[in-house]
Amino acid sequence: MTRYLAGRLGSMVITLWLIATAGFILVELIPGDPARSLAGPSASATSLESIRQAYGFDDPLVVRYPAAMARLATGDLGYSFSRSEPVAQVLARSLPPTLLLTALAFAAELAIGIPLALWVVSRPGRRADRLLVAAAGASSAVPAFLVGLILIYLFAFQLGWFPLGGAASARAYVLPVLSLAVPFGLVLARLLRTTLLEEEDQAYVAFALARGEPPWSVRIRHQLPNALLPLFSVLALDFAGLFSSVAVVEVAFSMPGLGVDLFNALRRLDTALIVGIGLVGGALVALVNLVADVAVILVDPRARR
Amino acid sequence: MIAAGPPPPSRPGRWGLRAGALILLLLGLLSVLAPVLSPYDPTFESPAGLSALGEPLDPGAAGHLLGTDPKGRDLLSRILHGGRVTFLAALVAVAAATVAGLTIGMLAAFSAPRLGGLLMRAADIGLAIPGLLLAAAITAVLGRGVTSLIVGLAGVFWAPLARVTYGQAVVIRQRPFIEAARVVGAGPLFTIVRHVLPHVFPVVVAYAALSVGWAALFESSLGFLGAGVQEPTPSIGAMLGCCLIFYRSHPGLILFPTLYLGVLVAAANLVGEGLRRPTEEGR
Repeated sequence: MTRYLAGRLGSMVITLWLIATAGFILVELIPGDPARSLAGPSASATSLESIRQAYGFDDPLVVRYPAAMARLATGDLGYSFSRSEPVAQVLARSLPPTLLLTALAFAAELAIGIPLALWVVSRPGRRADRLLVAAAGASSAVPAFLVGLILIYLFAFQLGWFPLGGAASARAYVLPVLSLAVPFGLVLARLLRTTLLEEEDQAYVAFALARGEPPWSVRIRHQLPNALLPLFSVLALDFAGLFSSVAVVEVAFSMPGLGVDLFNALRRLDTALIVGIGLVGGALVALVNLVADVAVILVDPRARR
Repeated sequence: MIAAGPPPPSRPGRWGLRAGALILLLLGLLSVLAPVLSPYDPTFESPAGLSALGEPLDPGAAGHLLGTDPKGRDLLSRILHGGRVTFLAALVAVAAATVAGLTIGMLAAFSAPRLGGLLMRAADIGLAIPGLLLAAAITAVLGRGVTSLIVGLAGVFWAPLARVTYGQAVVIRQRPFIEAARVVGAGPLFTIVRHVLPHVFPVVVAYAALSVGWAALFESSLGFLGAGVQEPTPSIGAMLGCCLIFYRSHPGLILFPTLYLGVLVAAANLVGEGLRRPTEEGR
C-alpha cells in the first residue's frame, strides 16, 4: 500500500510537471511579445522591462524553462495585470467558493443518481426505465449553463423563490447546484443502472433473495456496493467535466469563483491568470483521480493485489 | 420474487442511427447552403433591424422571421451562419483529433511497452486537465478565431480518442486471429492494417460521432465564456455569450441558437450510440 501510494504520488508529480510544461509552452506560443501579453495592453515600458527581467524573456530557452519550473515549484504563478495582484492571491480567494460549489454539486449528483438508479432497476423495462435513458441522453445534449438559465428563468425570475444570482445566502446555492447535479445525476443514474443490472445475475443476489431478504434490501445492501465500485474511476474522470461545468455555471449565476475569474481573464486576455487557472484545475483533477484510486483500494480488497 | 433476467434494454436501434444521420445531413446541407438561404448578411447591422427604442426585434417581425439581435442583425441568418461555424469547427476538430488519437493509440498498443506507456501517460494528462480550461487557454493564447477554436477543440478531444483506440487495440491484440496472422508470416504493419484496424475503427468512429456533439457543446460553453470565435463572426457559442443578458426580455435570442445546438448534439448522440451498439454486441 505504501509503495503503491508512493508510486501514485510520484506519477501525480509527473502529471503536474507536464501540465506546467504545457502552460509554459502555451505562453511561449503567444504570437508577438510574451512580456506584453503578460503585462497587458496598458503596461509601461518600465513594467514591461521588469517582466522581461523576471521571466528572463531575453534568455535562451534552456535557461528560461528551468527558471519557470522553479518559480512554479515555489508557488509563484506570476502576476495578474487585470487584477493588479499576484495570480496565486486571486486563486487563493477564488478556489474555496468554487470547491464548495463543486462539492455540493457532486453530493447532490450522488443524491439524485443513486436513488434514481435503484428505483429504475426495480422496475426493469418500464416507462421510468426508458425515460431515464432518454432523459440522460437529452440532458447531455444541453450545456449546464443553459439548464441553469432555464432554472433561473422559472424559479428565480417567474416564481421568485430563489435569488437571481450571487452567493450571498444558502438559498442562492440551490439553483446552481441543481443545474449541475440534475444532468450529471441523470448520467450517473444511467451508468449505475447498467452496472446494477450486471450484478443482477450474480449468485449472491439469488442466494440473498432465496434467504428471504426483500429485493430492495438486496439491492441496497449487496448489489449497490458492487455496482458502485467500477464507477469510482468513471466518477473521478467525470470530475474534470464537472469542474468545467462549474466554471460556466458560476458565470451564469454570477457567483464568485474561478469561473468568473476565467471569464474576466479571457475578456482581458490576462494570460498569466488563464494559465494559472488551468494549472490549478489540472492539479485538482489529478488529486481527485488519486483519491478515487486509493478509495477503490481501501474499499475493495480485491484491488489490493 | 426471483430477479427476472436482464430487462429488454431500451435502445433506439437502427432507426435512431438513421434519424440521427439524416438530421446531421440536413444540418450539413443547411451549413453549405447558408449563404444562399440567409435572407441577410449575418454581420450586417441594419438600422431597420432595431425598434424605435433600439431594442432587438421580436420573432415574426417584418422581414425577420426569428427577429434580430441587439445589433440589429438578422437572427435567422446568424443562426444559419453560426451553426455552420460551430458544426464545421466541431467536425474538423474531431476529425483531426480522431486521426491523432487513432495514430497515438495504435502506436501505444503496438510499440515498445516503454514508449507505449509514455504515450498513454500523455493521454491521461490530456484527460486530467478540465477540457474547457484547456480549450479556453489554447484559444486565448492563439488569438480568437475559427482556426484557434478548432485547435483548441482538437487539443481536448484527441486524448479520449487515443484512450478508446488503445483500449480496443489491446483487446484485439490478444485475439487468436492475430496470433494466426503472425504464424502464417504476416508482417506487423500488415497485421495492424488488415487485422487490427478493421476491429478498432468502428469503435473509434462511434466515439468520434459522439465527440462531434460534445465538441459543439464545448464551443457553446467557450463562446459563453468569451473564448472562441471573434465578433462579428457568428457561432452558436458566440451568440449565446453575447445575448445572455437578454434572456428575459428576448428569450428567442437564447432559445433559437440553443434549439439548433440541441438538435445537432442529439443527432450526433443518436449516430454515435447507433454505431456503438453493434460493436458492443459483437463482443
